[in-house]
Amino acid sequence: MSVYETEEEQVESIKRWWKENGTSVIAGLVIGLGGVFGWQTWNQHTDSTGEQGSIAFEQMMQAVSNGDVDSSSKQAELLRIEYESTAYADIAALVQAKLKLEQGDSPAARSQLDWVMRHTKDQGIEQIARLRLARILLSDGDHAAAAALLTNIKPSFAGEFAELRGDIAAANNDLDQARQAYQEAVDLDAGNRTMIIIKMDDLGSPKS
Amino acid sequence: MLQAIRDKAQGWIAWLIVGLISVPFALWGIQEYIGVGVEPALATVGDVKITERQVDNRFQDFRQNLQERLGAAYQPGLFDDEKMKREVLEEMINENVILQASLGMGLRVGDIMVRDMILAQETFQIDGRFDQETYERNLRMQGQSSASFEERVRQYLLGNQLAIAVTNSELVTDHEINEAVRLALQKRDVAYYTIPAAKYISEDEISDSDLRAHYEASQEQFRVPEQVQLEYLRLDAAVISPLLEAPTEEQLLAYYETNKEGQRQNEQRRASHILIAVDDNDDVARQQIIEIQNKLNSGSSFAELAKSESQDPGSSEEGGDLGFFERGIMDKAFEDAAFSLQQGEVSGPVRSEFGYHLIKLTEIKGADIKPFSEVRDEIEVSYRSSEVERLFFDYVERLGDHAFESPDSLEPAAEALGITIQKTGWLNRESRTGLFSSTKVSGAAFSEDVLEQGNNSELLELSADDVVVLRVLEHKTASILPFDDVKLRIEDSLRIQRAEEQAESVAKEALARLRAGELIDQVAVGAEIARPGAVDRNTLAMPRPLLAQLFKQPKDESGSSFGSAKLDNGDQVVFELIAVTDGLATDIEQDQLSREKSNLQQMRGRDYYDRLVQDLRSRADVTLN
Repeated sequence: MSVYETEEEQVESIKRWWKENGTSVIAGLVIGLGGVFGWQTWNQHTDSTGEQGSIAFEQMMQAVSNGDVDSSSKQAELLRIEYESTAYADIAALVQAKLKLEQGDSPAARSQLDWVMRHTKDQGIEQIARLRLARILLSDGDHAAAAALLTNIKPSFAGEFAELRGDIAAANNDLDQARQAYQEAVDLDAGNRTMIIIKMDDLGSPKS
Repeated sequence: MLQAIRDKAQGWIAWLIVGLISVPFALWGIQEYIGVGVEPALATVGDVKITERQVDNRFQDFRQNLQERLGAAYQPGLFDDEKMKREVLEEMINENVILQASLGMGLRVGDIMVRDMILAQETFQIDGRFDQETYERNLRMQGQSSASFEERVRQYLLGNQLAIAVTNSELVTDHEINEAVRLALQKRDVAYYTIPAAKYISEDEISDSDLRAHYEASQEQFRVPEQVQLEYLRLDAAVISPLLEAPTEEQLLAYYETNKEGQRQNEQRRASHILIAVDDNDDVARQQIIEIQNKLNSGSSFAELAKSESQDPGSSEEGGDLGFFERGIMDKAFEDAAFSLQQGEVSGPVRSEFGYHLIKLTEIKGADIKPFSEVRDEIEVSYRSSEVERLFFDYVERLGDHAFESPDSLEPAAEALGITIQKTGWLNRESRTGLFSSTKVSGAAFSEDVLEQGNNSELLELSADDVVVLRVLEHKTASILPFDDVKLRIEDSLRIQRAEEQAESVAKEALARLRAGELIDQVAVGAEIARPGAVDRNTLAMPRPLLAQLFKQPKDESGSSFGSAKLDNGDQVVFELIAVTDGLATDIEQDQLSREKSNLQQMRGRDYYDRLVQDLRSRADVTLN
């Protein structure tokens, strides 16, 4: 670095520096500020999308608890398409699946749950959709397809999956497998403990 | 060299550098003032801190709630505070995890929903309609701003969305409802008889070596825990009240005089005013108000002047009338003026935050204080309770001092206060009776200071008006009862044990014969056979262990199957499972079926939601400090 002798020289050198780097400094500022404003705008957009979604969600849930199938089904479809970027879409499809199953349209219910499994960004919601889909498949008699869904299991849901594995084995009349699975479910502290124990007892004690 | 630096330090660049350097010094420590990071956090969830104060507040709310629900059954020592605080903290962590996850998923709550929720709260309603004033008064009483309350409502609504979504979208398949009904309504046809263990009790001598072997093998059974006997001094309202002398009339009168001002709190005053608002020029406004005051003094009507001159649009039409108000509503300066006026009097110019006022006091209401003779009895009650309270705190303080000054005896304190020392029976750490119903007391009795050093305990507050100091009178360490003390007990229990084993082997033999094809009537020899027919899981008439075993018994396609169960009293039951009839969904009423369905749905939905929360928590950024 050179040593400046006078103030004029210092000013000169700053001017020279500005000539060389001025454009980059201004570009940097523009990009930086643009980023900040862009981020704010994006946040505002997410908030307002979410808030509108929440109103539609509220109306759908109201319709569900009023037992108004037509209206809740319409709301759910709207929510699923309009708010695809949010979890409201997942929730809508979960509700839609329940409504379809209650109307006896099990293939439609299954495709809603299948959509949730692929669409959702939350692994917990994915697990819930997966469990429900497998349960419908079991009920529809497609034991193999139900069993094939019992993969990619997260620890928090392990007990619930074990219980379902027991249900499938029991339906296949594979008593030893079923017993083992139910026992595992109890050990993993699955919910509905009483029900699981009743199901396990009903299989009879293992033959010694 | 130094000269060169000195010369250059005159330039503007040098000043710029000095300026830059001064910035960090100027801002150093500013966080202490603006309150960032001052309170230590018990836990952090993402970037949200949960402070000890927040946990305490929530815990107090919870305890108050419990107190209200339990009423007289509530005892402060009933619950383990530390444990409950940990649970409260856990709950708050989960709430924050759920909130943050919901936001991350794009879930929000719009202003409209917050507003609807607030409008629907009954506490804010008068005659079934939302009332702004009631709302604001309620918030003020809780020390909350409406912004922070709205934020809380928003969080509450947001925190519930996932729960509502998961539980209400839960479904029940045909297979599940059929299975549930099949199992719940299953009936099993059974015949059984009992083999009483008492029949096999033998009176034969049991050898000493057998008894000793049993004693050695099961010493834990004969363990006696560490025990203490305590003496204590207890102060509560029941001890204090009798110490109080009957109050004299002079005392009551003095009490009445000092407290009657308190009744003025509820006084309401009605005033009119003329306002000259101050925008930016104080002097101009003051000039104006003085001119109005002059007009008043020269006989103009206050109401007319208020109409023409007052700059308070709300009241000028009414001749300046503001209606009735209590203390605590108006601007402080305004209030002080209004409450110092006589009825009909007009104040001089009063400066409030709005501007200059002339205030005319038009009416006073509710300030009438009842004469002493009328309220004498009430005064006595409240005088007594305030005296008991004063005396209680005085005694508590003296008790604490004496107990601390002579830590090796309670006598001095008992003598000085004129109360008697009481004694407890033997208590161990797990005792929960009497004084020990408070864990504070048991904790103190077994603390190092009290138990080992032999000191008086600290003052233990059982409730706001119940205080205890204790010391250990006698102490027994944990021990195992000697053989000779328990010899008879061991003999009895061995006799019973052997009889039960005998009964069990008899039952085994019977089962073998039944399985080989003999009939139950032949095998039972003399025992009465019970034939209750087809029973379900909840039949009360049958012993629980038998019922449990019966419903675990594998069915035999070809005919009856056989099993046995040990009852709680040691008897054996041998049973024949004759037939199994499954429950059928088509056999039950439609509304019972839908009830079953909605039970299954709720159970499953809640369970899935719990799992979802567990899963979110396992992935969340939570630190416990």
